[in-house]
Amino acid sequence: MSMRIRTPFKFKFSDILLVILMLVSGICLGFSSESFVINFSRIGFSIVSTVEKDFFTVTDAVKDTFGAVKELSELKKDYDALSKKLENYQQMQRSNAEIRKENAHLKEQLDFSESIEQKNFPAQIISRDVDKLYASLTINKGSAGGINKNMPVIAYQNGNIGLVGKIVEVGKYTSKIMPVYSLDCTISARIQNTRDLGLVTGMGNDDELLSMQYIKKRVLNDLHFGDVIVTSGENGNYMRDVPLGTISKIRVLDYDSSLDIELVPVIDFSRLETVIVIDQNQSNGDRMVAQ
Amino acid sequence: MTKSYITSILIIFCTVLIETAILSNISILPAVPDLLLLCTLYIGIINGKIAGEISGFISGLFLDFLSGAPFGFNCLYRTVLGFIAGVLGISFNFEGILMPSVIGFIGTLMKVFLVWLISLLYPNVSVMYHLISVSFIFELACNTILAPLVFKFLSMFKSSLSLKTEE
Repeated sequence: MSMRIRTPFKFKFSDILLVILMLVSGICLGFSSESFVINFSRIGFSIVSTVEKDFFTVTDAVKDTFGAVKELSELKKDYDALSKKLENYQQMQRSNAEIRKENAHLKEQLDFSESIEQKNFPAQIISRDVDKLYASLTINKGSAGGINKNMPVIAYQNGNIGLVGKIVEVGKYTSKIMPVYSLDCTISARIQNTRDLGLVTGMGNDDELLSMQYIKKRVLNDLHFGDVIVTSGENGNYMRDVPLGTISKIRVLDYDSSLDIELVPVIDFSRLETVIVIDQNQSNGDRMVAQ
Repeated sequence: MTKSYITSILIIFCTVLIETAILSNISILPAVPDLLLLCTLYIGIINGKIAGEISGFISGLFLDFLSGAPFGFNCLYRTVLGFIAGVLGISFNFEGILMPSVIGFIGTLMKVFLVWLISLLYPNVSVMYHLISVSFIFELACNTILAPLVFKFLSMFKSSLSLKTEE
């Protein structure tokens, strides 16, 4: 008489398939992100500290609410006074904005790309990242249009030239740009006036500011809000002196020998439609001759 | 069976194109509604675990090709979401307005949880989901509101989508 051993678990094909698909995805992710760590201490810390952080957020929010009521009455007085001032400014701004708009439109019509020294390829943004987790822009030109990996991308917007990012992936007819606001994007940059060298990184979202680091504290007195930050041109990744952003906030950290500077990007990415991809190895004349 | 899978893949592919080429370019939207997630959930619910995890994997694959995320990132959590939808699908009546909305709401929260879990296991995967942010709340609201509409729309293809043989 045969004995049948009963196991409490039964694995169906769907369970095995799930494990296979998860393994494939997990291994791909491990290779593409170059990391996989199971550190239980870190994971435990992350979980518990997240709960702790949320608890703090709630208590802090309650405290802030009570404080806000008091501030509200003071703000009301300030608001009335400022509203009158604002009306005057709005009238002035309206006429100013109309002139600027017309001016910008005319400048763009003058085929800006021809004025750039290097060979360049105007392209249109066809898609953006669907979620806010990773930043990328896709343009309608690829290797067939002369685009190569690591080419810098700039844009001309509202009369300003600004760095958009660089090409990270090239398809036959489309390319992917890593924009300057991406977390993975680090650019060697200088403060235009003082020529101090630092690194600019993105915060991962086009709504957020850029961050500049490694600027020594001793130059603090030479810096001003609105100072322009430009690319340094070192390493040959980007052209020299392309504006990245303007200083909006300077933080002095006690524990750090460098300043923490926040920048407002020159480019308004939510309104960006067309970009210019630059081929640094060829001059604009080459293209004209070829044509 | 083959017809069901081909229809599922076609629907997923069209949804990816709509999300990436149209919705992502509307700059006034703080976030893009995750229609792909809703499609995966629907397919998982009507066809069970295998179809759910495969459609989740394929939808993630398309997204990984088109987005800046490291390859495998979307595949991983969408496969799990598809599987879970397949497991729970049999127990729920997903017609009407309320249940699809609840499914869309819970599906989005689970997506956030899985993304967070992945970021713990893969230190270089830097994710930017903030629960208390306009973009997340907008996405959550959109997915909740759009779920009944998407489910209703997909039910028009139910005869082509559903598998004849049960798992």
